[in-house]
Amino acid sequence: MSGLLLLTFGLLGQWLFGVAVAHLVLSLAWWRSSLVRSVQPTERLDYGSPVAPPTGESGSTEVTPWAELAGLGLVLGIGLTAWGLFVWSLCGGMLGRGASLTFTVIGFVCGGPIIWKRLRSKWSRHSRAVQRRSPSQSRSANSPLASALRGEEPGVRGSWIDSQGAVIEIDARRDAAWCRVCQWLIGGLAVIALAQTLLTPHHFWDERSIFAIKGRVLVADGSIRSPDLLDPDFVQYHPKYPLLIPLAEQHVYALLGSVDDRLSKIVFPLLYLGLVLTMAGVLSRRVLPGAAWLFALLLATVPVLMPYELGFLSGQADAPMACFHGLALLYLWDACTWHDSPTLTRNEGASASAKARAREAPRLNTSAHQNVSHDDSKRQAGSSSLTLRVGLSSASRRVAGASIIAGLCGAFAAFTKDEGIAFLLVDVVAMSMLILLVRLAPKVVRTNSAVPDPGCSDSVQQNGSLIRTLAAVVICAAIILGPWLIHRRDLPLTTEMNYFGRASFALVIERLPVLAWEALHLAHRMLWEWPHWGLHWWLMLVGLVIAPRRVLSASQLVLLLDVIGSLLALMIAGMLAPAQLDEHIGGSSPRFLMQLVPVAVLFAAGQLAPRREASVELNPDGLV
Amino acid sequence: MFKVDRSARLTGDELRSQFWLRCLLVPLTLTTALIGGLIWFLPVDVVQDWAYQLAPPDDTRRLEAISHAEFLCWLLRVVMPLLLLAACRSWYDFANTARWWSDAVVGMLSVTRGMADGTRSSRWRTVLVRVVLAAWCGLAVVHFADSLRQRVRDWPYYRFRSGDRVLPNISDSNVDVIRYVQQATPTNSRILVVSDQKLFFLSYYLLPRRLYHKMHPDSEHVIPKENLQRRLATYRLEDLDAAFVQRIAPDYILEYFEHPDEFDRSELQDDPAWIAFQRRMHGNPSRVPNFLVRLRRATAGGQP
Repeated sequence: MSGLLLLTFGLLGQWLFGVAVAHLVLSLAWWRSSLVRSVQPTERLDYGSPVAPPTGESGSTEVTPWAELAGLGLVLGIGLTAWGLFVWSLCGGMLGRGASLTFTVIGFVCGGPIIWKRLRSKWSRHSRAVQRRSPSQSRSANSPLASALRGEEPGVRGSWIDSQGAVIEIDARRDAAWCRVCQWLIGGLAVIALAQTLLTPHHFWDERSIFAIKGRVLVADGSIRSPDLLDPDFVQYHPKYPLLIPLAEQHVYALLGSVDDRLSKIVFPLLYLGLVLTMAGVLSRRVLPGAAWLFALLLATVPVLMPYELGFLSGQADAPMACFHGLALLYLWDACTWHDSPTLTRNEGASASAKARAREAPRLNTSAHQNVSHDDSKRQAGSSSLTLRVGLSSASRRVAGASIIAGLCGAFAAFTKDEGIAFLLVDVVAMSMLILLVRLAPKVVRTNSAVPDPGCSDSVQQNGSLIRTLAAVVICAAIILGPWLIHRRDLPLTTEMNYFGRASFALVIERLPVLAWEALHLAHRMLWEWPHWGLHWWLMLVGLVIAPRRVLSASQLVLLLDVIGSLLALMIAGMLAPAQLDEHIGGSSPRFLMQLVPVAVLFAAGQLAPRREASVELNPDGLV
Repeated sequence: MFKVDRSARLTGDELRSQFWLRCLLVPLTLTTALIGGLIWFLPVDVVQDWAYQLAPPDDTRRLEAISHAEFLCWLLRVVMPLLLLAACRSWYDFANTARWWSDAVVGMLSVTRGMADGTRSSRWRTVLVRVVLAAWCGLAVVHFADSLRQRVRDWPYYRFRSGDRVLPNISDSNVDVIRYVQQATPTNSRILVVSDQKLFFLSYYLLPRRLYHKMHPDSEHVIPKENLQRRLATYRLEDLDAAFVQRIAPDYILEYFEHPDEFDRSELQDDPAWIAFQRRMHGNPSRVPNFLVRLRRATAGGQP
């Protein structure tokens, strides 16, 4: 019983640790903005229309929605704890209850105040809203159903851009009610996933022979440099496979005080919940919240992820790979779409040097208030310039924050399974191709620079922003993966496919004929076998058919290039592998394709979901 | 008991949503109250007896039926009161609930219209999106029902036991060998194995005993098939050089072969402890397994 209590305490600490890091990275802009605010209290950027601050899913003024913070906290908590334990052990520390409890306490110390502050601000907003209501309304406000609608006045309509580029109006109260339905369903699905996971012990091939066995050796030996894990003849499958899952399971065993391979599976439904909540949170910053939660619900109900036996219900690493790789792409997408958000373009996305802003200010104000005097224009220009500086700093930092999270998640994917290295390479190649496309065809690809520089042309600015994003991803991934790659060199090669070692031009040419079989096989798996795996590939195609022009945005292109690159990577792996092709690719393709599910759903969301309306006032200035 | 705001004048939409909500809540409340009450009133033993009588006359099937009944009984005992609570909550705040559901449905329709541009000229897009989403929901429901059925099937075997107790999803011969080695060796032994089997599950369940096995290069990337359909290339004990055995420094040496071409039938009873274990475990005093298991203590130099 004390073990279970300690496990609960430890998992809470792990989540708080993730929350602290997510908050720190995603809110890099906050402290800087607040500094500038303290100098200049009048920060309103008056472009002619009242501008709403960035909103969370419930219309609050929080930068990071609750769903995103909670979901990302779960994922980063698991990833960073495993990585921290790895580095600790690499430096000579012993794994065990002491190390796990230390991470738990660090989590409480770092994340506790953040959650407490957010909860307090939420409660104070709630109490202010109740006080504003009449007594009769206050009574009904006590009901949870009424609270679902709180903060949304009936009939308030927001403007959005549909998949065809037309402006549509959607009732905010009704959208909030739909969001709440999705949230309840996702909550129920998470409970079902948890219950189903804990009803089975580890019972599949890979989960025991690759991951769980390493976890148990780590428990017994207390070190990643266990002589058995370094021994080529110790019976384990894929000794070179990464240690994120084994270390996460070891963390559970250490807190529990004993080995129970049913309870260590609790990691997997937590990752499932983290993936879905983060998807909902990030999308709700970008698109209509109702659509964001709908797509999160769709992601939660893709059969191959859950409740397929080898998905999140099992201890296999494929579903965690889907989680980490999906989140890496989600934040890359977020970094690329940062300027698509009107809240950002109005408040933060604009950028110019002080000289250029002073030149542009009268024009901005003329478009906004045509009857304003020239003196007023100058005064407002001064105010705007400072606010623009706030926005510039904030926007660039938030893009940096998204890029850092993308790099972290990409690195965690590579620290989960060897496919992650291929995915990381594909991500980098996709971003590089995007940068090239923007350079070669700036009129075709629609991107928005995070930090436009008036001294440069648009394409140069866009490229600069994308290059900085790519650099941040690569640097973060290198920092996280460095220790693992150093340790990996000492691990034995027994039963490893050793793709990179086997790769040669002659072998690829020799096995070219298998490409046709592989292409047909993958098409069959993706499109024909939808009753088994889900409709996500069809939804992606529907998105392409319905809104073909949206594909030409940078954010959508990077997803499309990534999916194509990943499929090509699988085909090349099939050509290089020493195993029998139909058994190797035939047996592993459903699990590999599972890892791309979040990207497919995200692509469909980017194609179909109504987006925030762009600022009409800013368009003529070329800042969007 | 219920909050009814009669002063408010209801619109046509609200009346319609209240009608549909009533249509949903009445059967839900009655069903959950009836089944929930019954399932809590009936002892689980009674339900198990009933399942036992309905099961085919086969011991395994009957044991499974008893466990299935137990699982379903407890599932209903948890789910039905929760649904009843939700239904009661909806009755208590009926007007708001109806409005909420109505808003949610309209919100969902707006979202899907916005996803596809629902103007009359392009209604096909909206229809296409909604058809895909409806198929998606249907598929999810089917898969969840299937997964629930799978959990019911698993329950008789897994219950809340850890894998070490159940030894799930491995062959009977593997189970026998694991149980035998567990009771014949100390927990921290080092065991050198020569075998024509993939030994990952043995290694997993025998921890903290450590298993070492020299993998034949020809079987490194070969996936085994059921019923020995695929023979894996393997080293015999005599193929291993002394330096290798000395490096491993095993406490025990285990020979474990299942393919009939890998051993002589006269060797099957070489290990009397194994034979005794088999006969005791299966309750058959004349049983001789059809695969070779030979566990020996190694000398200081690692030789048997």
